[in-house]
Formats: sequence, C-alpha cells, structure tokens
Amino acid sequence: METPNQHSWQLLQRQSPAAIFVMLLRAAISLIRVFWPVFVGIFFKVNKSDDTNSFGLYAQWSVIIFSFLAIVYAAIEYFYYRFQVINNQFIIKSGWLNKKNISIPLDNIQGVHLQQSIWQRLFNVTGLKIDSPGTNQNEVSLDAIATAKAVELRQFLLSSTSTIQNESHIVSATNDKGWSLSIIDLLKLSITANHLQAFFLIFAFGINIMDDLKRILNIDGWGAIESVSEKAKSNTLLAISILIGLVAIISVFVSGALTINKFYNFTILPVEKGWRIAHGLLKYQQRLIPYRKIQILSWHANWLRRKIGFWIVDIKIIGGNSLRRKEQLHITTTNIEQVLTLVPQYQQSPVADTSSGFLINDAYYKRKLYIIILPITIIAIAASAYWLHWHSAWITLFTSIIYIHVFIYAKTLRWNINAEGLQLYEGVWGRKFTLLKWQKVQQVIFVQSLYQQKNNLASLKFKTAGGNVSIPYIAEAHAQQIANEVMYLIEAKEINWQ
Amino acid sequence: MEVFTNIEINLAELPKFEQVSFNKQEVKYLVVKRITMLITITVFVIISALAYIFIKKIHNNATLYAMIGTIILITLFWLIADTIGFKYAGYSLREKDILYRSGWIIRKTRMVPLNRIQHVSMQSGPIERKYGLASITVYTAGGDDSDDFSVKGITTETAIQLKEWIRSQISNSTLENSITDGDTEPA
Repeated sequence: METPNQHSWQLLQRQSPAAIFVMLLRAAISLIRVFWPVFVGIFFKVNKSDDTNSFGLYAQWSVIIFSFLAIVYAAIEYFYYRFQVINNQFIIKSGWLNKKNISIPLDNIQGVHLQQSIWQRLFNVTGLKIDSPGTNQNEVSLDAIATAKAVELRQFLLSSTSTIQNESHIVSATNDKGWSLSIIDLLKLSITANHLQAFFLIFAFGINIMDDLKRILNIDGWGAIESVSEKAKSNTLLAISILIGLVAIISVFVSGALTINKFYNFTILPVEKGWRIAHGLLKYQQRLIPYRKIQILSWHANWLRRKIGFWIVDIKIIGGNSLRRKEQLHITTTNIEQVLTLVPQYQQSPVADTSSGFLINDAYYKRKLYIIILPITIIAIAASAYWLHWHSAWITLFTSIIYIHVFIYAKTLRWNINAEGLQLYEGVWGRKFTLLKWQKVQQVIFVQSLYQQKNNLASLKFKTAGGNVSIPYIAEAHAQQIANEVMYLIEAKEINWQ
Repeated sequence: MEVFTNIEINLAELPKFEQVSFNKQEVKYLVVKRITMLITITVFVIISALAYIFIKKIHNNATLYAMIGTIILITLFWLIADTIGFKYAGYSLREKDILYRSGWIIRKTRMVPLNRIQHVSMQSGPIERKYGLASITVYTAGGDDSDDFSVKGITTETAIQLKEWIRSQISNSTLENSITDGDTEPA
C-alpha cells in the first residue's frame, strides 16, 4: 500500500513551483511577439534625456503594475491548479473564480508526451501533455513537474490505459538500437538546409519592420537603401556581390540555427509497435509514435542533401484530438538504408525503382504554361513596362525558370500502385518519395477540370486522417479503375484503419 | 470454424462509380441558390456604393465603370456556375459507401466508404427551411472542413432518412470493427 510520502497519484497534488515561472515566461513571450514595437518605442522614449517625458513615466509604471498583476495571477493559477488519478480517471481541478474540473477516463488517453524547454531544464522540470479524443476537449497539459515524477506519471498513465497498452513498453523491447545524430551530422544538416526559404522569410520580415523602425526609432531604412543604391550605381558589380554575400551569410546563419534548434539531441528508438523520438534544443520533446497512427510516410532531400545522403522522413499521423487534428513529425536519417529500415513498419511492399512506374500526362505542364505562366508573364510585363521600360522583359527569364521547373517536375513524377498502396516519386532539384497505404484512405476524390473532361484525363486525390496524396493528370479510364479498386479494397477488408 | 476462401477477383466486375445513377438536388434548391446570390450581390453593391461615395480618391468615372463591370461579371459567372453546377450535382448511396458529385469548371466526385464515416450532421439555413430543404454533412477522420462533403439541396425528410441510415450503418460498422479488432494489420 502506498504511503502519502510516495508518488500516490490518487492524492490531489500541485505542479512544481517552477510552473509559475513557466506560465509567466510563456505569457511574456506571446506579448513580446505581438507588441515588440510598442515595447521598443517605450524603452527608447523613456531613455530620452528630456526628463519631462510624462508618457515615459506612465509607461514605466504601467509595465511595473502589469508585471506585478501577472505574477499574482500566475501564482493564484498555480495554487489552484491540481491533478490526481483516481477511479480510472485523470482529473485536473483548476481556477479560482472560474472553477474548472476536467476528467479524462484513462481509457480515452491516446498519448502522453513529455516536453522540456530550455527554461524547464534549468529548473529540472518537464511539461506533460495528454492527448485524448473528444469534440470539446483540447489536449490537457501540465506545465512543470519534476522530471523524474513526469517520467513516472507517464509510465503510470500508459500502463493504466487499455487504448495504448500495447505501446506502454517505454523500454525498448526490440533488438534494434535506433540511431541518433552526432554534432557533425547536425552541422551538415544545418549547412544543407533550405537557405533560400530562410532568405525570403528574412526579406519579407525586413520589409515588414521598415516602417516600424522609422516610426519608433527614427531609423529610415528606405532612405538608407536609396543612398546606398545611389553610391552603388558607380560600382554595380561590387554592390551586387556585397549584397549577395550579406544575404547568404544571414540566411545560412538563420536557417542553420533553426535546424540545430529543431534536431539537436535527435534520437529514434524502436519500441514495441512504435518509435520513441526525442529532439530539440530550446524545447526538448519526447514522443511515442505507434505505427498504427502513421497515415502517410514520405522522405525527401534537397539537391545538396542528396549528395551527402541525408534524408528527412516525414510522418503524417493522426492527432489525438477528436480524430480531427493532423500532425507531422520529422525523422532525420544520414543514409538511405536508415530510411529503408523504417519503411517496412508502414508498408510491406518494397520501394519501387525510381525509373519504373507510370508518368503523368504532358498536358500537366502544358496547361500550367498556357493557363498560369504565360498570362502572369504578360500581365507582369505590361504592368511593369511603365517603370522598367525594356527591362521588364527580364521577367520572361524568371517565368522561363518557373516553366522549366514545372516541366522537369512533370517528367520526373512517377507513380506505382499495388494491392497494398501507392508509391509516388517526385522532385525537381530535390527528391521526394511518398507512400500511402490504401487502408489509411478516408475518402477518394475523382477530379476533372473542363479541359480534362474534354481530353479524357482526370486527377485523383486520396484523403487520409493525416493529409492528402494526389495523382494529377492521368488517363480518365485509369483513374476510374484505380478509384474503383481502392474503394473495393477499403470496403472488402474488415481491418480497422486506426 | 470459418471456411477459408480465396476467390479470384475479376477487376472488370468491380462496382464502377462512373456507372452509378445519382439522385439530383431538388429544383427548389436552385431557387435558394438564386436568393442567396441576390442577397450577397446586394450586400456587395451596397458596400461598393458606400465606398464610392465616401472615399474621395476613387470618386471618378473609371472606378465607377470598373465597379459596375465587376459586379455584372461576377453575377453572370455566378448564374452560369449555379445553373450548370446544379445539373451535374447529385448523390448516391451504395451498400458500402456514399458518393457525391458537384462542380462546374472543376467537377469532383467524392466517395466515402461507410466504414470511414465518423459522424454525420444535418443543417438547414433560414432560406432552405422556407423551402423545406436541408443538407447533411459527412465527417471523416483528420480532415479540414474543406474535405468533408455536404449533400445539399435535399428535402428535410430525405435528409433525416439519410442521416439516420448513415448513422445505423456507422454503428454496424463500429460493431464489426470492435469484434475484429484483435486482428492486426501486417506490420
């Protein structure tokens, strides 16, 4: 019999006091994200030498009072937030003025996940999230409980619920060792990240804050750019080189940092009927992924990562919330063999050779050209001719690149089907494989545009609980046959898709 | 003990969705769509007129003609889309699934096996209620709202019957799944 000194989950208990700090921090980060220009403005206005700035004084006191109230609120929330496991239910009681009582039958629990941000690590506490279905209930979470206690609680909950009892073996029950990423792997991953994407994001963000900078800090970003471009006219090549260099450095740094933050300490360990995946620097997460939850399995690599054999495996799973939420997880592999060890857990059929399979109809890229690319090019040239004169013709270079991209995509895309599922292979500079099991399909959608109707073509879309997979521009008869066969395979077998 | 069978499946004999006959939407539904269109266009015209009156910058003939032209084009396009789309739209029930097709420029035929339906709901707007019409929405797992399909333009009685029939099929399907749940999929 348990004594009150032991972790008796039947007793009503509170989180670690560190939860107060975690709650405050989360609220502060959310506020800063939204109101950072206001805070910066207040800060600079307050620090002006003009002592008669009463606005600054009011702002200072507002911040102090608001902070004090936030601390008091967080303390009250912490004091009234308690949990227990009793009568086969996980119960959370919270709220002071507005009392709330959440009861989750243990059998309804779909998953229990641990998360540890850098701040939680400082206090040796861990956040715990419980997934449960239900149309009105969101996932339940504890912000901060002692790490050892969190692991114990998770183990207790998993062993108590029959829904995921088969996945309750936290300790590896297989002979597979799994793998993890070394520091060298992490560096390679960060260097080969999609820097172009980061560049456009930074560029867009920079444009967005230009006006804020001028308003708050009196920094005229646009003026600075104009004066630099005036000077650069005399030495265009140098200016462009410097600009490209700056952009490259910033993009590489940002995307590299994001990649390291995401995949730091990455480990994957096969457990019985699933994988245990852990990763994260600022926010360390541990997830247990049952194989049966995987809806779509795919892996991809950009052109640089293909050279060094790095592939990212994307797992689309069904979330626990009312069977309505999709989630995507990423597993990093350092060679294709690691990818191929994961595939049999989802699909038994071997992965087809990339040179085999069906192609899509040429009408795909031709339609993109006539319906989208050409009209946009003409409109863009016409709209910009007034300012750019003959230089607007350069737009055709840009749109030609897009067309070549679409052409290569259409010629590369291949698909294979068998009784088990669909395999899709695609990509232009990078490559992507997608696997879909027919048993995971929720809905089949047969699509025909006006052009496709007249030319006996069609597209197929397969909807799963984790996302969609499409085959565009195939022969109408072939698409009908596939749709009929897939419907038969789903309906004839009595296998539960979950 | 169940007798083991392994009958060859003739793919040519599989049920074909393209040969299914679809039940059309009620003619009154076209009237409902026209009324909805009229209300929406009217609201749009009022907002445009107010914008034209109160925003001095756009107070010129070019803008006025552009606004009128846009409204006329949208109305025409909407009318044509509704009319042609109405002719094509329909639903069908089969023993193991439900089908719904819709669209004009882009035609879609959605097929949902009954054993994949999570739940079904019935709804009826004020204009639909006036004409005794309703629609039912079929929900499957994990999807966005755009992926759930609604069978629209049916009478309220038909909608109730459909909903109850689908619910009974879902219950039977759930019972069969729970009985056979001990079977595991490959891997």
